[in-house]
Amino acid sequence: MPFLNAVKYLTYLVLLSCICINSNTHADALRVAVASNFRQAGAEIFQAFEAKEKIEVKASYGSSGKFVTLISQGAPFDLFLAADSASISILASQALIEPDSRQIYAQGQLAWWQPGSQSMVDNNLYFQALSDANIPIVALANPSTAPYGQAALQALSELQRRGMSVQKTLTAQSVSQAFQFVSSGNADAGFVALSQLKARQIPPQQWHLVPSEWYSPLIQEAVILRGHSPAAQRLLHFLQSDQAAKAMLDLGYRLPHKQNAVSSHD
Amino acid sequence: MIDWETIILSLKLATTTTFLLLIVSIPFAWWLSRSTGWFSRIAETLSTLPLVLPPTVLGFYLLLLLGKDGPIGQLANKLGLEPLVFSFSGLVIGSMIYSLPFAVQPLVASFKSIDKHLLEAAASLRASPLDQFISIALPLAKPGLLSAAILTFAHTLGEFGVILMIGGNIPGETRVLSTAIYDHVEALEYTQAHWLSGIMLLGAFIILLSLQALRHKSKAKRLESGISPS
Repeated sequence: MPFLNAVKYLTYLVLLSCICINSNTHADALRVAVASNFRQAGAEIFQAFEAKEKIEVKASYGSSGKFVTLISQGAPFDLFLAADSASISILASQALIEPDSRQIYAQGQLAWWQPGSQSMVDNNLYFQALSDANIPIVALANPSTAPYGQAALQALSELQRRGMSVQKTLTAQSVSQAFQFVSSGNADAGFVALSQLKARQIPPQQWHLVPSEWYSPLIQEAVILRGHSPAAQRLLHFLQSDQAAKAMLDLGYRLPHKQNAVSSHD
Repeated sequence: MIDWETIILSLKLATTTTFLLLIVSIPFAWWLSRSTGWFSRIAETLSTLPLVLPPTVLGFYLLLLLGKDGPIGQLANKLGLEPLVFSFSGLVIGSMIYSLPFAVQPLVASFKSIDKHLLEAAASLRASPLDQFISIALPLAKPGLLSAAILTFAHTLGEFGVILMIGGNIPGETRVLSTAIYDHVEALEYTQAHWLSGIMLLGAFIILLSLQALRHKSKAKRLESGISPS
């Protein structure tokens, strides 16, 4: 049977290559757990960091709440870039972080994305009009694990209090998945991170910034985890560099800590 | 465009799991096929459980057992081993349990189909039970062995739930094909998701086709040997 023989040789080849290719665990690579909203900014910043410091960054993306569970179970991450500060506090209470390494790296902004909308009016007028609207399916990240989902839930109840009606909410694993639900047309609208819209260059008439008083501020903290690689401090430091700041500002993040630093110099 | 690191890691996981699982399953399946006691029935049921349990249930228990506060995790820690969760060795342990029925079932079936008279004849010629097993049972069970290996390999390659629970999706260490595809779709990287999914689809097809061809071949052989006077 020629087919069986071909498969046989292919199998030998695969087995041989599996034995020969030694996927050496790069001891000096940095393993970073990154909140989903920071995927695009992170990719850009890590690339710049790798080029500058010659240290490989292995990033895993997911919701902050999920990473808290993974890290408490012993997941070997060196750094954690969360979407809030509460997640970091939980890890701090379990003594899983390097004391004094906690720092704010960005403040996220929540946006309402409705691809069907073509309105160029300002936010106030837009959300006033939305109060009377009926949106069949709204996507948001899981409020129990994703800080952006919590913020979305707060904003959604404000909108519903004002009279907007929603037939169904679609809960995503993370803010990345919430974005995917809207982008694929499975949800009519959704709460996403401003950074995602900017990174994908979504036309501005399709989205509106959610008024910041509708949700608790998304102060994003980064931290070095216990038992980290020595290079972790350098990446944490790089997050505060001008190069990183520019990448974050371009994607719509606010840098409240930077403004404080500037104003304190005045 | 193609994420070789992930593909190689998946193949490595599937190969390692298949190899180790066969070593464990062959004696286990032999015992199951020979023994009729209630104890072996319970053991067989337990080994079949991963077939019907949701992978998340398996992953959850494994996380508790292998995690740093779990009994096995603490044992590994005391022995100075690397942590079992979120590491390649943890994935191998998880995959071995997850794929256990896929290795054991075909082996038990083929061991059971062996003609008892052959073994009795060997015993009357003073062949030890080990000798009977190695010289008669193993060669006769070769089709079952191959099915077990192929099914384990394919099943491990497609594993998702368990790996998601105990893997942590770390590139180059615990990110395998299925979790990478999930990640790519979430990030709207459909091109990469297409590549990896296409590779999985083709791989699964080739594996199943070779399984079919194998069954055909062994059937033909059996017929042949049935016709020829023995």
